[in-house]
Amino acid sequence: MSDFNKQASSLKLIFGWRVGAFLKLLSLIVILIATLLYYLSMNPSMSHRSDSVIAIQPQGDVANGAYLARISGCIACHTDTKNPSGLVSGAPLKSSFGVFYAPNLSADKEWGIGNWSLADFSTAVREGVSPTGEHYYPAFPYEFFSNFSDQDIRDLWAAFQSVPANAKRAQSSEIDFPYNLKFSLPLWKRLYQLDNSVNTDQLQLQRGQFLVEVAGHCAACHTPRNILGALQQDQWLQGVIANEGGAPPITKEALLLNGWDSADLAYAFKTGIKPDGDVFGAKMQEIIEQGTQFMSEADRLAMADYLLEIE
Amino acid sequence: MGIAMKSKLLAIISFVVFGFSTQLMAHGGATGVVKERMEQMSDMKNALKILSDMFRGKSDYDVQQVRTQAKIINNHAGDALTQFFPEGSLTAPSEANGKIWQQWADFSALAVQLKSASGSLGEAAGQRAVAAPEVFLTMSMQAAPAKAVAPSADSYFKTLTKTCSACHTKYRNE
Repeated sequence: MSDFNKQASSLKLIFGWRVGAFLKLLSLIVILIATLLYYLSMNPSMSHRSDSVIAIQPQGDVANGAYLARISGCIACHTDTKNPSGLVSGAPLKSSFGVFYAPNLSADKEWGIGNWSLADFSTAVREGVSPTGEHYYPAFPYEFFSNFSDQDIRDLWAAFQSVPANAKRAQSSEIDFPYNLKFSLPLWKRLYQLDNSVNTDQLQLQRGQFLVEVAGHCAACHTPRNILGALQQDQWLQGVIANEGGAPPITKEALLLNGWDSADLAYAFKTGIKPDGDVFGAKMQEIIEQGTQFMSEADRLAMADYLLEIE
Repeated sequence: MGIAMKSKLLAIISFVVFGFSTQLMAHGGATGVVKERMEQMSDMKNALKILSDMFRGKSDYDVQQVRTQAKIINNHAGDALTQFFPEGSLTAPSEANGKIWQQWADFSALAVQLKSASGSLGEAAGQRAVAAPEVFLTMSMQAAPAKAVAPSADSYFKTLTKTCSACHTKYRNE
């Protein structure tokens, strides 16, 4: 074996462990220690359910809810286009932590969300906790959706109640060890809570911010994650390398460097066509086809302006 | 070493150095079929840029120009496209995905669809859509236009670009 190959092999081993196994063990140790510390420091009376109660009035707007569900990816993620039936189960979402399947969101009382209340829905979407107190994995982007307003939630709820019941059990997610240890999720959520607030008094940028940082959750793909799957907030929208999911940087600097202007971005969100005539493939094309193409022109421009304005 | 031998050696070195440099200039070192298909894709990308600039109103809509650019894409579509994808031709800097040969029938069908859509676009170049179709959003994946839309250059252009993206999504490494 050449010296080069020997060096390459030694890089793959740490104390005789393969790097993947070593990282998993490290993750497990971190999770166990952190969970222990969390439970030791936790106030015994603390509930995993939020006490916030959403007012039932005013009524939700089904049309706006359907629009939000579309542009937020609810419909895309909870529908398998190869086996389309109303929001019963998503296509497999493969990640380095395992394979996630989005659950049944139809009005079925057993397998769907037919037995939920508006408050249950609000807690699930904005806090990532099910009516039975189970914490969801962040494959469901509740960390972004926490900034949906009460009225957004009422609108979404009204729209979801229009989905016919479909009594079909969604496939269970297949999460690798140690990430399948769900007891650590409350701590994970506390440690990695997003702080993506941007203060702007311009209405156009506020709308863009809502679309990019909340509904569109662009950072979920365009921001790198650490070994525990948390977004690295100091590298917001700075892109993800190919073998970790592959998404280009979409910071203001990167977009300007690549020659994008606001009109180009808005047109690409509508058609998938880039300024040089190339056409998006991969995941971005799905986002466009199932989400941004249905946005109003004003919203597409608001997203583009926000991406090109915010430092 | 004789003079003839030195000249021959110099010629070989020159060929290797300059020949290799020239190849590097074109598509990052692509050679053979990979180079040919990358040039083909580049031609189609340039045509699509001219077309999209007209359809989005960035440049004046010119019927003859639409036909010319649609014809460029049409000439590169169908068998003219698939001929440059012999099995396993994944040499760098190719962006092609190995699924092409596992799903050859689907890949070929998309190449034929590209031929058909670009042909229809050329024929319908003079028929612009009156207005964008109104779409009803519901809570299902089906978001059908409110009413049937008559075929137009705009609708064929959309079909054309959807064909490009369908192929890129499945068979191009992004």
